[in-house]
Amino acid sequence: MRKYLFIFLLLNFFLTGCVEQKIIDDINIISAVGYDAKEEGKVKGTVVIPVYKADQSISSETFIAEAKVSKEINRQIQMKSADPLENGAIEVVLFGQDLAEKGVYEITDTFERDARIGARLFLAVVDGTADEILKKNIGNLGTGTHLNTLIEHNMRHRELPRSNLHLFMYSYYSRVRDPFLPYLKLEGNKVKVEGVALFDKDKAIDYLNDKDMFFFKALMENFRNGAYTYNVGDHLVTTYNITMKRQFDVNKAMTQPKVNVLIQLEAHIREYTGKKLDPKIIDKARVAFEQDINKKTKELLERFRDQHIDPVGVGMHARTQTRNFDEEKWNEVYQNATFHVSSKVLITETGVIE
Amino acid sequence: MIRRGSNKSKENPQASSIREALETLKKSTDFVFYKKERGNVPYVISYFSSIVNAEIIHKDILPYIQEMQQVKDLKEKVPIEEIIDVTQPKDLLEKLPLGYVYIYFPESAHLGVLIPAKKDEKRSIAPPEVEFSVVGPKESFIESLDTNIYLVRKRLPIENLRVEKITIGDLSNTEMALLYIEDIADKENVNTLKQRLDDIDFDAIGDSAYISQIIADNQRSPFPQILDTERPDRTATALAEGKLAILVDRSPHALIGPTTFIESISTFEDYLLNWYAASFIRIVRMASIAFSILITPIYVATLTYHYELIPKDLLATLITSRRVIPLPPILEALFLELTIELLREAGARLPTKVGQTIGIVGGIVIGTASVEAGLTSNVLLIMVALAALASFTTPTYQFGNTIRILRFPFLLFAHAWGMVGIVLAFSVLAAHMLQLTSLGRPYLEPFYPTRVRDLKDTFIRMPFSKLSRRPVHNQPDDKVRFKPKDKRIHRDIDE
Repeated sequence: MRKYLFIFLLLNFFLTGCVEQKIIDDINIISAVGYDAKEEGKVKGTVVIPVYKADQSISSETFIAEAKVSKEINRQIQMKSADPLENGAIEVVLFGQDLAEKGVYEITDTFERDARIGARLFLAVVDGTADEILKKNIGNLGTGTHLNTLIEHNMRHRELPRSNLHLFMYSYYSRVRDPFLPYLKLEGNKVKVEGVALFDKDKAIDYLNDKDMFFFKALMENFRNGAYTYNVGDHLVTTYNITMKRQFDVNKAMTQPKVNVLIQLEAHIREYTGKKLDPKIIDKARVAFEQDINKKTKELLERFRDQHIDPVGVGMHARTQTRNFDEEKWNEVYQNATFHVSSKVLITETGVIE
Repeated sequence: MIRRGSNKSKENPQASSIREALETLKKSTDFVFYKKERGNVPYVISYFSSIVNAEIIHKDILPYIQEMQQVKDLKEKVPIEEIIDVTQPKDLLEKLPLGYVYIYFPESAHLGVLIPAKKDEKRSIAPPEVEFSVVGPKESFIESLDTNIYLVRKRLPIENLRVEKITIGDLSNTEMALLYIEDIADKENVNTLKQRLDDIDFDAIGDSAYISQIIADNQRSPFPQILDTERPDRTATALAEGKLAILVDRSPHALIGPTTFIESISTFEDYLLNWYAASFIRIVRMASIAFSILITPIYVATLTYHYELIPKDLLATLITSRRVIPLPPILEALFLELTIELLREAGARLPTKVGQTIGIVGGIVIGTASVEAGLTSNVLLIMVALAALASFTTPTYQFGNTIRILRFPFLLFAHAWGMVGIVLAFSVLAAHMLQLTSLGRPYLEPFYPTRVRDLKDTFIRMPFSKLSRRPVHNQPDDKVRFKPKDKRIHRDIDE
């Protein structure tokens, strides 16, 4: 037995040549990829690799190719690269607006198929073209890492709702939900999170601006430090929220859906342009905030309904609350849905100064 | 008994063969053959001058013999208990080299007697060096069996401490003592060990380490299956747990068995410190063993195959540190690992004072120089140095050496198949360790087979109040060390 084990191990060493080595300094690790639509159904692919310099600084190098299918782009880019390009550490994939509106499924599908590519990589739509961002050398960690940290911190701590390849594909395949992606824009030498791109299946059809993003995220997940500025009388108040809860009540889901949304949030006032922040004003601020939430959220939900999309996942809430839920039936009656939003705001803190 | 039929007038064949035996012994120049023809009783004395204590001969033997009127008074006069009548030449050949003195009276029919006068040169009891601890007793075993037994017996002054002596080795005639506490140590263990010792067939036993390797359950294993210690206190507490100990003459290390993996990486100091501190240090030690085996293989595996596993912030550091290095990760790692091994070996072979210089030269000069020359990356240099440091935390020297070798197969597997290789190597190692036994008792106990009771002295050394039972591993005959206090019947003082 022992002899066989020994022989087995020994023979295995003859197999080692079959494993492809990828020594980190002998490969080019792709950090970001961008795709733009071109005429005649062609796609222009832009690939960014970080270049590590001797003085520890990082710059970026870009490869561009055009082809009909994305793997063909990969082939053409490999021809231009000195070391093999490896796609295992892609952090961000950007889609130009034109391509996003034509449909991105073909590309996301190849990413999903590749076992080396993580499901948590970020996808984003660019206002303009992807290559204009990727050609720029942004940030001091390389363009890919910069974009990755940009999106990540905005998702984790700010108003950008959470999305990545996995969540995108999950929403795409779900019949009661539609995907959305961050919407970026190049402003001078900086990339800015402009809002959210809403998808119908795999085609971008609408874009939310940064003001709406707050309410959009409020409908989906708990988050801290979301800032919102609004008018109280003649003055402006900025609040940061601390906790957030929401509750969806879907009645008559199969005939005439009535959706009641209750949003509860705790917030603290960080900025007030007026002079003194007394309890009266705080109460006024609270009421004003509640009214804003009710109005804006309702508008958002109706806007989604009118475009026949459901990025918030109202359908998923309906599914959990309805016996004999029928997805096709729901998609028919969704257009007739009515929304009612109520909210409860609790202002817990106004800062250290009275 | 054999002599009973011997004839006075005729010289018997035994006597002539004794003369022959003496002639053989005379070939050694340190053999003394002295005839005293005058006096009450003429006698002939012979011994190896190098191994007998002249003082004993001159003070305790010769004066009494000279006073003696008759040969048969010998046993009453000479104040030494062990006086052996020589019956055959074999006795002479066996005992004289052990430090006996042969005295023969030419005028009597007696063939002679052997009287022990062994020279007992030994160093004094010194503080432990290999298993040093800041607190606790500062005694360690020395090269004398009797002293070593004394060191144990004074810690266990009970009638039940059994000491059984066995002599092994055709050339070395090594005397060794098997120690155990009757009624606590398992009979089966005792029998197994006795059997193993009896079966030893080796001419010259150099040290207890020979014994430990010869009686190991699996001699092909890199793991020491018998624990060796130089601390009498550790030996005594092990005996109290129901283990067995072997003391070997001329060896300053006791062997303790059956032992476990956990015991190999615990020190006696673990029992001397507060249990929180002891447990913490133990966990640190275990982590450092895993670290020292795995860190370089993981480095090689990730850099050769799994670039996607490296966090993006670390990627820049790794790539810049490897930018100018012409070698693939495996050669880089082997180069550094072998450098460390060279330093270790050089340090161990050289005299202490030179050894320290080697450490500094190697550590600072070679390390920095190889980084500057672009032969190795500084990240790996740190890892290898840390791994070497971590491997020094293993408390038993024998086990430390095992750890030292184990990382090389891991390294090769990591290079061949990446992480899969590391997993494969680990599986082989785990399979080996699972079937390993120490004196027939499982080596990985209490993890496999799981013995929950014994877990209280593994990662965490529980306070002594919880260690009320002897480890199940030793299958002790008496399982209970003390009865734990029952909290339910606890009463206040004023009740």
